[in-house]
Amino acid sequence: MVTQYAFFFNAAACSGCKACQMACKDRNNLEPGLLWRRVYEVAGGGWEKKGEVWVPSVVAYNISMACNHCEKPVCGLSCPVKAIWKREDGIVFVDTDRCIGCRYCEWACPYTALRFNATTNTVSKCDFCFEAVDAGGPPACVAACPQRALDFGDLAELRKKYGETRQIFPLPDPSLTDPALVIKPHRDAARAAERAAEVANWEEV
Amino acid sequence: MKAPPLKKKIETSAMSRRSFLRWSALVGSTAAASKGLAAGFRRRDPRHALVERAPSEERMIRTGCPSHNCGGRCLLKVFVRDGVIVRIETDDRPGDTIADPQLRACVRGRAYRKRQYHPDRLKYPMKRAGKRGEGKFERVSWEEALDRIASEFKRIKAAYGNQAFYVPYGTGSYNQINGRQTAQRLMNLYDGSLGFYNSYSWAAISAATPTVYGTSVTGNQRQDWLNSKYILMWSWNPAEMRDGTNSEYFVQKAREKGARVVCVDPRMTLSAVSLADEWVPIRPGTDAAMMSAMAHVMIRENLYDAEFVRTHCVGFDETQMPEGAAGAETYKDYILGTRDGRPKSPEWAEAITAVPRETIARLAREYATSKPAVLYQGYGMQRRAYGEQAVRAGCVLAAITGNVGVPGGWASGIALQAPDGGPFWLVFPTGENPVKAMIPSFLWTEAVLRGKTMGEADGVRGADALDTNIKCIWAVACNALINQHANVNRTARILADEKRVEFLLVQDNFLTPTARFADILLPVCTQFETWGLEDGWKYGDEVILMPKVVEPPFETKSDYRICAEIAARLGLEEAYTEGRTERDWIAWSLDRYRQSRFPGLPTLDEFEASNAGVYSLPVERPAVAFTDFRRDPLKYPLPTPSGKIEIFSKRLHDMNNPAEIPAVPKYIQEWESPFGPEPKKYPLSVIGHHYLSRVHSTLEGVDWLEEAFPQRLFINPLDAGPRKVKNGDLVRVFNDRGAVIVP
Amino acid sequence: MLKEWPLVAFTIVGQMAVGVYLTAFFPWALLAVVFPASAGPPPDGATQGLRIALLALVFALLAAAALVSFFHLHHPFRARYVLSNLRSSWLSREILFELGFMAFVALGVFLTWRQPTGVGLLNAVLALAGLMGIMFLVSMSKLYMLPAAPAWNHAYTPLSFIMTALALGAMATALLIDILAGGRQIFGYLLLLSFPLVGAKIIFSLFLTPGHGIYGSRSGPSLRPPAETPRLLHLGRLTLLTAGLVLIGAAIIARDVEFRAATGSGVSGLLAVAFVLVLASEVAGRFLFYGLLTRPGR
Ligand SMILES: Nc1nc2c(c(=O)[nH]1)N[C@H]1C(S)=C(S)[C@@H](COP(=O)(O)OP(=O)(O)OC[C@H]3O[C@@H](n4cnc5c(=O)[nH]c(N)nc54)[C@H](O)[C@@H]3O)O[C@H]1N2
Ligand SMILES: Nc1nc2c(c(=O)[nH]1)N[C@H]1C(S)=C(S)[C@@H](COP(=O)(O)OP(=O)(O)OC[C@H]3O[C@@H](n4cnc5c(=O)[nH]c(N)nc54)[C@H](O)[C@@H]3O)O[C@H]1N2
Ligand code: SF4
Ligand code: SF4
Ligand code: SF4
Ligand code: SF4
Ligand code: SF4
Ligand SMILES: [Mo]
Repeated sequence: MVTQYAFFFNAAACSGCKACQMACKDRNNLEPGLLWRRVYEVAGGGWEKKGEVWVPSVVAYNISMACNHCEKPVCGLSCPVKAIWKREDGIVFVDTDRCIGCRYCEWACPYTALRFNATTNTVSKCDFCFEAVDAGGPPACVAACPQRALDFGDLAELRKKYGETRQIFPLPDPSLTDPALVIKPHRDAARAAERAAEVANWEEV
Repeated sequence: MKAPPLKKKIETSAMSRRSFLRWSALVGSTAAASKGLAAGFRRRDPRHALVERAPSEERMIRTGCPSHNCGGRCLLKVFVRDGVIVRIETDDRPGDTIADPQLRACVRGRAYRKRQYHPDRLKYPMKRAGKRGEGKFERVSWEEALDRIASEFKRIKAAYGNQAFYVPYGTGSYNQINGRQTAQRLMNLYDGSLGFYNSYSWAAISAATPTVYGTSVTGNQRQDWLNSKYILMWSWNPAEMRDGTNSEYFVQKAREKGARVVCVDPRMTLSAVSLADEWVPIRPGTDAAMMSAMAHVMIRENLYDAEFVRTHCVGFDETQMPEGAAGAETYKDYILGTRDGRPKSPEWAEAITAVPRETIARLAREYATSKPAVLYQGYGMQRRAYGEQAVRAGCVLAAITGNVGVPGGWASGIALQAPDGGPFWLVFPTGENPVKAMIPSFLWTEAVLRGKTMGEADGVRGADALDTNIKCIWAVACNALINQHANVNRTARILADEKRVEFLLVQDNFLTPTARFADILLPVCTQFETWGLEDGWKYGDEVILMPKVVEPPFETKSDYRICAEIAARLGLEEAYTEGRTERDWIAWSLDRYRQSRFPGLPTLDEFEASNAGVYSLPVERPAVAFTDFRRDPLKYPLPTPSGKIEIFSKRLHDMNNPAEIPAVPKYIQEWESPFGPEPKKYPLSVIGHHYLSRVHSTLEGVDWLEEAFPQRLFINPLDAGPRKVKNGDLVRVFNDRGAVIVP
Repeated sequence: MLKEWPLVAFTIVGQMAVGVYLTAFFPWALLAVVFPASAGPPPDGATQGLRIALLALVFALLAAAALVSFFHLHHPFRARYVLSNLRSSWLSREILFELGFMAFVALGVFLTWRQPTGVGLLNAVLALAGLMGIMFLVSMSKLYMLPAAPAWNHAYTPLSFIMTALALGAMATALLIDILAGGRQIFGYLLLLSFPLVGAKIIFSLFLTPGHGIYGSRSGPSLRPPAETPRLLHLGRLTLLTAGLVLIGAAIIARDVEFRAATGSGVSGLLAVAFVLVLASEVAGRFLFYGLLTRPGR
């Protein structure tokens, strides 16, 4: 029995193609502006003069991120009406019939997973494609990835398979929420902080 | 105009999702047993509610992603409810092995619903109402439109003859019965039209590759990349431009298996970020210089495969010059600068390419010694002045390092897939064109302006000269009259003159820049709304069936149906249709595939009934180009004049234009270059690339894609700084030919 | 940022209510509860009227704040659920304490008016109301001190809230007393108090405002879009505060003059203008505060 569903994300393999994001939008009919899964482009570094020419010291990689269905879901802990709840298998849901639309949880979630949905006038977010998962299939984003950079499963098993890493630059301190997330870092992640990397595509995420 | 029912349908499809939301919310509010968690939090089990779900009346159809010219061919699962596509998923065949991987759709295929139900889709036949190019149209009946087309065709044929007709390069549809081929078939039955050869894509690489190898089939099946130790991605960006579904996946797998991957591209592409260990930025248009310098290092340090060069190549040095060219400058002469006094050293190349000399030397050593190695050439570097030189230089590097004909190696060049050239794209029979004259696809503007004066020097083939200028253009699935052509302000002026092109017929799904110039504009259904069949683009070992998924909306029709109706007015209906419907032609096309690469293909009825969507041949042992030639070059010679790899091409030598068409690959400065007079006026160079969110201009304006990949211009911070250009600024990019304004 | 106007109004008005209460009542009430001897005689009619007016003001401010907060909800009719998560949500707690504060203040009005059982009970109720108000302020601060929001998770947040409460509270109380009673005993003390409070606010904002202050925290890299708070708001706030401070100073001097010369000198006018300026600076500061944390997407 799954006690905590989780995502695996291979940052070393992710091309930033956004097929995952689009699969999510199509499944959930998300209007433009509403992203449950989105792809951050992290970039930093610069150029150095070497003799007569310039050489790059650029770092760059992509992070595809949805909701991490955290074990300590601060979103729900801070919701005044308990509209966010966690299922037996760890999936975190927003109850759109109860949500008052105060948008407080949006501030609380360090992964910016919660997004206001102007159609329902409530917040909304990734529901782990629970219908598909309940039927034994993969979430739409996982099934979409042309680079096979996404996987899902029980957190404990994913950790066994892919290791314990759950944070790369510039993701927040994982102890804040205990995200159900396993990451394989891109080679540049280790140098990102020192090269003053930042998310480079704000208007897209 | 009345409210478009399509929009309604789209709203209805959104509605169903809304009711789902309500349902999932209900699930949320049913309190059930709780288990302690973090304070204030309970876990509940809504599973009991799942049975209350409304039974789905959805139909799922596996089909190909509409066959535009995107480089991929992917499988989609299309969900239809009440005649409307409500969701699109992708290939989920179990297994997903390297030999037979899933054909997972890219971001565009996943967003296709938004093109399908775009409010701007063409709905009715229209005729021009204002000046040509103004974009003003009036709705007309199909009768009126078709009658007008038939009478114009007859008039032009009588007045100018068949060479006056032109069905231009247009790649919007390769699904067999939508697309320009349907028009070409009718034209051929109607006594023909001016033909063209070559493409906007591969003009240089498709011409240059055979000068070295005598063939374009120089690529291995891609699974073979997993046997490589080193992959040099040269001007190749498969993470953004699809160059075969799964190409980027295979490169990733090769890298995971230990291959080192280096990407040579002026721009830090998504491929450089995600597939490569190293990115080497290069000044655009100087690739041949860097390749020459790599050869310099290999020759000076004796890193090249001298034995292979001796047995399999000609023209490397004076010991192996072809007959009649003895005494001509050899490749080695050129590289070492024996004759021109300029050794093509890394120092020399550094000044041209802006790649540090050490990097060039290191890459030369790495590529020459990490065997087997791939030097894969993309097409960006060849879609420019003297693009052939970089292509030939790359092929020569592959040859002198002995990477030809070995597993894990790669011969470079256009690299169509071994053993047979791979996918066909089209089997729909266009028939023979009675007009033999052909022009290069890019020079149609010249044929409009001065066709009568064009001859061999302008690349005319099949005739000594043209009899007439182009008078009638029939553009089907083509936005290459304006948008995708070059110097488009000039092109627009040429087209706007009604005395030149007297009749311009356009068939498309949208009012494109090309379509704005139409005299008659016909609304075509999408490929989800008719039948189709596709195999791979450049690579691929599968056939994908595209059943009609939904009905054509409004008054749209398939290109095939439109052509059949024009044919009827020209007295050619029977000859055109041979009594076949769209579906019948797909059955017919399937037979063609069965007779060639796919003998085991099911019949159309079986294929359709199985809803498999795809029939694939797993690649367990990837074919390697030139295997036989490698083993025994005398027994299996290449189709070149010498039978060997032509580092020196006698055919090019005989063209007697060494400054522009040298016999050995050379770096030639482009006619607009940073080293010419232009930089005084225009200090920056601009290049384009094939963008992930569009197939050329197709899928432009799809909101989900614009959100994911807004149109943008990339500029090096070193150039942006002094110009005070910041992220998100609107900038005007201009030269003498015109301007674009981009954020 | 501008979309947060209901929260700007709610927090400022709510904090002002607490401030009025704390400056006008709480210390005395607390004193009376802890040292019943200090309670003094029951108030006379005029004092009673003034008290009721001040309490009513607090109540009205709280009610207005509560009302305006509805504008920030997208499903206001579901607001009845907001107390569901007292166990872990500071937002629930904030609402609880606001309601509690309102209830005790209302009770205070009632008791002051009817004086059913003498001042003991009244003082107890007033002390409790004060505690509720303080908890209201605490939960309001805690609410924003989210670990996920480094820009807010900072001593700046509670300090700025408390200072807003006290500065606005002292000035509002002073003004009301001036208008209603013209009696200037407490007034003088409040006027004097306003000066250091506003002065401290200036120094505090100048140095510690996140993102803009000289030593203010700068947010590091994160998945949240960088804040685009206009620097103008920061400078505007400082200017307004400084102008307010000058006017308060002028009012203090004018009051002195007034005492000595026994002529009207426009103290009330000066104070009223100063109050408006400081209020405006608070509005600017609060927009700045919300601007520190952008929400991604639309
Ligand atoms: N997403 C997407 N994929 C496509 C298509 C599409 O429209 N969209 N179109 C398909 C078609 S028809 C074609 S022909 C192919 C086109 O495939 P290509 O021509 O290979 O694609 P481009 O993106 O034009 O160019 C590839 C890379 O070359 C780089 N480049 C440009 N100039 C130079 C140069 O001078 N030197 C070097 N070293 N690099 C240079 C560009 O930065 C780019 O990253 O793509 C196919 N795939
Ligand atoms: N500057 C610059 N120009 C370029 C290139 C470049 O890299 N840079 N690349 C060049 C290359 S490689 C190519 S291949 C060309 C491509 O140029 P085009 O072949 O013109 O390709 P598209 O722009 O995709 O235009 C195809 C049109 O077909 C329409 N269409 C789609 N499906 C159907 C259908 O089923 N039926 C009909 N009738 N119409 C349909 C689409 O709406 C679209 O308007 O562009 C070339 N132009
Ligand atoms: S990622 Fe954010 S929204 Fe998702 S469970 Fe964690 S805290 Fe909540
Ligand atoms: S927006 Fe909805 S889910 Fe989020 S905290 Fe407010 S009520 Fe809870
Ligand atoms: S699991 Fe489903 S809802 Fe969540 S991000 Fe992936 S596709 Fe979207
Ligand atoms: S689909 Fe895969 S490769 Fe593409 S952006 Fe998403 S995770 Fe990255
Ligand atoms: S657009 Fe091309 S690559 Fe993308 S899904 Fe369709 S066929 Fe595949
Ligand atoms: Mo192309």
